[in-house]
Amino acid sequence: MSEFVRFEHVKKTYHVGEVDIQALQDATFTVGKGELCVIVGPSGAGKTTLLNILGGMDTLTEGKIFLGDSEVSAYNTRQLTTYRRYDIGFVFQFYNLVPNLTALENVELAAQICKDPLDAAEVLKSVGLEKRMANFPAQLSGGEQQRVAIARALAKNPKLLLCDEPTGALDYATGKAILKLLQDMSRQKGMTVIIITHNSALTAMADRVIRVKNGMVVSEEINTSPVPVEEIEW
Amino acid sequence: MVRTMLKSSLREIRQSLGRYLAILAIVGLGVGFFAGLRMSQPDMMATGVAYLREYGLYDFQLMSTLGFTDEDVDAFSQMEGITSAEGSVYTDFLMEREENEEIVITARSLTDTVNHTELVAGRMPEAPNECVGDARYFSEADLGMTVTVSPNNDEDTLDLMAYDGYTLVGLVRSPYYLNYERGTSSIGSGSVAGFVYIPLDGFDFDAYYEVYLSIDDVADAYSEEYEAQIDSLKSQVEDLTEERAQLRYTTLYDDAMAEIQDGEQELSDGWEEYRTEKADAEQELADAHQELLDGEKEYADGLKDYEDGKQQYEDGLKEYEDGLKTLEDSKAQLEDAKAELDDAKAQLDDAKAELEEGEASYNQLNTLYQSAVQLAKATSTGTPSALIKALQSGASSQLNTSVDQALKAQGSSLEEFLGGWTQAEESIGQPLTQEYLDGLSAQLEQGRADYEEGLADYEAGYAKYEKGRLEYEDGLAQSEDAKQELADAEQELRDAEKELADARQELDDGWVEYEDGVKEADEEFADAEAELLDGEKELSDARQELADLKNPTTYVLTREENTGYVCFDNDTSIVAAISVVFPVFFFLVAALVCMTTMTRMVDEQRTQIGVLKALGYSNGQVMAKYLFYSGSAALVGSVAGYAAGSYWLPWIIWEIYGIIYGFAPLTFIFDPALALVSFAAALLCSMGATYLSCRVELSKAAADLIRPKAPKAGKRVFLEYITPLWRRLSFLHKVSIRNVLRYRSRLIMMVLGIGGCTALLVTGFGLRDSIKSVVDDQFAEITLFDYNVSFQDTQTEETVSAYLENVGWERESALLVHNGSVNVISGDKSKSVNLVVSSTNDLEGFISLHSGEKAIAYPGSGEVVVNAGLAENMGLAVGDQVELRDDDLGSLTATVSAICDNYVFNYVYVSPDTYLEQQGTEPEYKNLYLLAHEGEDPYQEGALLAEDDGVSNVAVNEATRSQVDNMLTRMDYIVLVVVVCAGALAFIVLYNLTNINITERIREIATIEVLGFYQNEVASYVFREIFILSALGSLVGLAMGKALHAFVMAQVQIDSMFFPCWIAWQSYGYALVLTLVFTLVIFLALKPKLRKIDMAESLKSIE
Repeated sequence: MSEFVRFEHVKKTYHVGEVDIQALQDATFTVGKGELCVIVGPSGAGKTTLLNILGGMDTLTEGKIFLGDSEVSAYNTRQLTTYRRYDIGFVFQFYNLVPNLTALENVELAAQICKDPLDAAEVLKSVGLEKRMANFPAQLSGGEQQRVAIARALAKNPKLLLCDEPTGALDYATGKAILKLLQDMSRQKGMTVIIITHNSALTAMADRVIRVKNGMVVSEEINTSPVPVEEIEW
Repeated sequence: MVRTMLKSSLREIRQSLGRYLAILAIVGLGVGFFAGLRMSQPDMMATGVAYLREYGLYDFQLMSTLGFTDEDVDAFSQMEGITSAEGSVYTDFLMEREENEEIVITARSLTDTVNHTELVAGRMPEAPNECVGDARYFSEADLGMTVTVSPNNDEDTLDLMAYDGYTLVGLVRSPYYLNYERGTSSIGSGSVAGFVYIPLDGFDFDAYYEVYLSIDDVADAYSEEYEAQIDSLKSQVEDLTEERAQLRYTTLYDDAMAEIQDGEQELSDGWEEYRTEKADAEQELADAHQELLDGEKEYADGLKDYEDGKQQYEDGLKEYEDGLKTLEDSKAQLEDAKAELDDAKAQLDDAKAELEEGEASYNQLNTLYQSAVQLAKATSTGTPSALIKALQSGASSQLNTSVDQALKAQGSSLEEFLGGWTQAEESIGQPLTQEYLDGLSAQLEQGRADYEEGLADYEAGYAKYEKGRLEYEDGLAQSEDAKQELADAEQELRDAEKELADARQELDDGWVEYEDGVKEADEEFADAEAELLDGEKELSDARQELADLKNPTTYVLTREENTGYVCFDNDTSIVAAISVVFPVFFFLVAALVCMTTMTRMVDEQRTQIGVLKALGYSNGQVMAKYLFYSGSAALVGSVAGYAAGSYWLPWIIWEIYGIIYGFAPLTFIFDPALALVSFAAALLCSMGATYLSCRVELSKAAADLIRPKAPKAGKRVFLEYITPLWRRLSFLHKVSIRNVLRYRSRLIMMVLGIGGCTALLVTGFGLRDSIKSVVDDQFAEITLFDYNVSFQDTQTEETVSAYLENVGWERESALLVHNGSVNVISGDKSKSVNLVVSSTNDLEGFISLHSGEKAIAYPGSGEVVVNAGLAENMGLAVGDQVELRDDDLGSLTATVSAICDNYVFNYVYVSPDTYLEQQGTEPEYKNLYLLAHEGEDPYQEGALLAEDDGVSNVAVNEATRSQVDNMLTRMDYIVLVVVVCAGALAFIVLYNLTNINITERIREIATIEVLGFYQNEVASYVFREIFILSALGSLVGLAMGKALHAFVMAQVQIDSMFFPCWIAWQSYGYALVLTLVFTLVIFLALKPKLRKIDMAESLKSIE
């Protein structure tokens, strides 16, 4: 598989007051196009920093990041916004739906700003929410809200889907259903999906597993036989 | 409160200082505005009351048509409840300000017990011809000038003013003139420019014009107690006034009668005396005349004598001169004779000498010869000749020796002898012989005889000459005497001449004296006669006067009739009225801001509350923290706001009112009740809001609180049910609309705040429009004439035509009118207004009588047209009866036929017929309305019009217009204050709301940023709803503003002005634009805040 996402010796240092915190010390890895990649590590390992930088929400201190042929690390703020806008779909741990927009509208909110969006209703249908489209987030369960969030990310037709602990706020069954949805997206639509989690049980479902610890990529392995989500237990 | 909690609270304040300050500021502003506007009226009132008390404005002002005497004044001061009574005089007079410029000044006598003047500059008068002047009219530079009483003033005024001019020694303010109005006058321009106070001695008067009373234990002005005091005394004062006036009438009547009788007696005595004296004087003059004639005759005689004497003298002189000439002739003759005599004497002397010489020669010769003879004889030589011959020949020496001997004997010698002989013969030229000697002797004899004869002749001639000389000398002496005599005569004549000249002079003087005497006598008698005739006229006048002496009319005026006093009450109540409406906005907004801020804060700290509760803190303890937070902010804010607001706002308003009043610096009063009320209200608002916000949260279980709060559910808004419309909206607009309607309290706060801001702006600009329109409407739509020329005397058609021709004006550009000042009385209300009576029964082209678009006909008989302001003020309606009472206390009753528009001053219009019917006299047409010529400078034309001697004043409307304009321009400051207030309001509301909006939705904003919204899209996503709310609020504000403006205008009715309730469409525009500008500024101020939002926020868990 081609190297779609490429991290080259990425370093990130935060300055908090007079203290420098090394969030990422040296991260080098690649993710192939259409892969389902799980980045796993304990709390404080630098997972989120990694995701922030990849998602164009934060800049790095050293190193290079490529998405396809473009060097994301060289983008300015405006270019980063455009990058987020057209290339990235984001799924948050706490869904982050706009509370006074219906499910459909939340999806439309994202679709509005894209060049080539998918039909919002279609996407919602594809995540199994055709009957809840007119509901406000407050009227939806957590799983449903996360589905809406995923639909919102997908509707942008992004090159890369980034998920930050997508099951973190969900119960076991719902979490599984969401993971299943993400795996299906990757399998059926060839979407490159990167999931960040502290739950190493999820590595079984991934095409590629990247382990992070203390701001370092400790291992990068290709899983030649990923397990369907239904079979994973944790 | 537990210490930790207190610490936590204080730390909370430090951490969210912006929010804390926001509460503090809004509470401060709210309280400041509330207290400031609320205190303005009491402050002003306190200032006014203190001022009136300090300077002792009168309580009663009594007037009578007959005036008051000192006894009357005493009687009033004896009244129970009256502290003091003091008489005073006053008059309006024309003062010469500059050349051709006369202005109307009211002169009042200085009083000791009431109406004390407040000295602003200079000193009080010390001499009767000194005065202190109106500090509003005169400036310090005027000190030392002479306030000159123009000779154009009428006789009564000139009589009353004891001096022609009064030196201005000080500037004063008077409680009698509390505001800028100085009233109107029947003289000059009809508008009083200022006042002067003159010592009572500076007036020459018979009776006081008015009496001022001060009452005992006077209560505060404007208070109900004061009104009660006045009410309780008024009827007694009225009774006494009437009684004293009647007494005065009787006295005057009796005095006048006695005077007339005395006058009659005096007059007849006068005539008698006149006649006697005249006869005496005539006799005296006749005597003097006779005397002069006698003198004349005497003089003529004297003159004749003199002339005779002169003739005589001249004759004498001639005679003398002739004599003198004769004498001179005889003197010459005498001198000639003397010369002749002298010549003769000389000849005689010569002849005598010759003779004597001849005789001597002869004697010599004879002697010689005789000797010869003897010798001859002795020698006997014959004859001598022979002897000589012999001798000479020497022939006989003997002879010669004998002869020589003989001769030697004689002492001679022959030689000598012969020499002598030869010499003698040589000298006689012939031989010496006897014959010759005989002949010589005979010759000598003959010569002697001739000489003797000549001598006798000479002597006779000399004797004759001597005689002639004596005669001449006598004549000369005689002539000298004559000369002396003549000189004496001349002296005498000269004396006589002088005497005559003196006599002439004396006579001439006598004549002049006589003529003068005659003239003098004539004049004196003419004067005496005139005086007597005057006396007669006076007497008949006095009789007429007595016949005219009417029963007196009296007036008992209170402070309610004093313009300044009443206006002050009205004007301060405007402030009070405004203070009711305006602060409500601020308080409401303050409450809402507190509410939203505190709700937000409690929401934010939900988890913390939950934790505290979980730790076992009671609800009260938890709430105390938030109550402390908002309460302390409110307390500090309200105290600061109260202090600042209650100082600055009244100060600003007083400064603005200073244009009208400004008699004293503002007294600041502290109203503890108001302070407590505002503090309480502020605390209630903020802590109440906090309590309400907290109560909901605190009622929940701790576990609930620790869990994140479910976001407020989205809701469909009513617009969504209008599907066609909703569909048309772009997606993001839908979001905004839904957001707008999401929080109702915020919507209300926004609409109220922004609406309030717009409303204030509309009101502010509207105030300006209404006031500005006064000037334009008044001078472009109503007052069409450009000049008002006041004449000293009543004008007729002829005099007006002559005047117009003189100044080069067309008759059709002029209108003759009667202008007067009258009191309009309706019910118990009275008001001084301007009366206009048109000589043509029409005002077309000069004053436009209209009401709105509708033209009004000139009032007919028994009708009156009044202006709207007056009608409103007096509560008049068409069909009402009003009484018009003028200065001379004549009165006129008419029915209101129409109400016309007029903004500056109050006017009533009646027809000449009405005036004539009710007043019994023709109106005095002393004023001429004139239209200006196109393109001419109005002030120059005005000056030209004033050049005529008969003109006492020319009012140039352009000048009035610019004056009013100037005054009203100051109102712009009020507008500015309003705009600033509005701006402050808008800022607070917008900033707070937007700030809360952003903080509250920080997660949402971060999310859409993560979704890839550009900065501008994020900004418009957030601010669009603010703009929508602003637009909505300002639209509501326009409507609120119109209502507020109407309300405020209803309060702002300044006495002499009527403001139309009108707002220009531009003002709505300005208000809208300004509101949007405020919104935009807030947008720009808060935009950076959006940029600072960290997208990582979106990843955080909900707190």
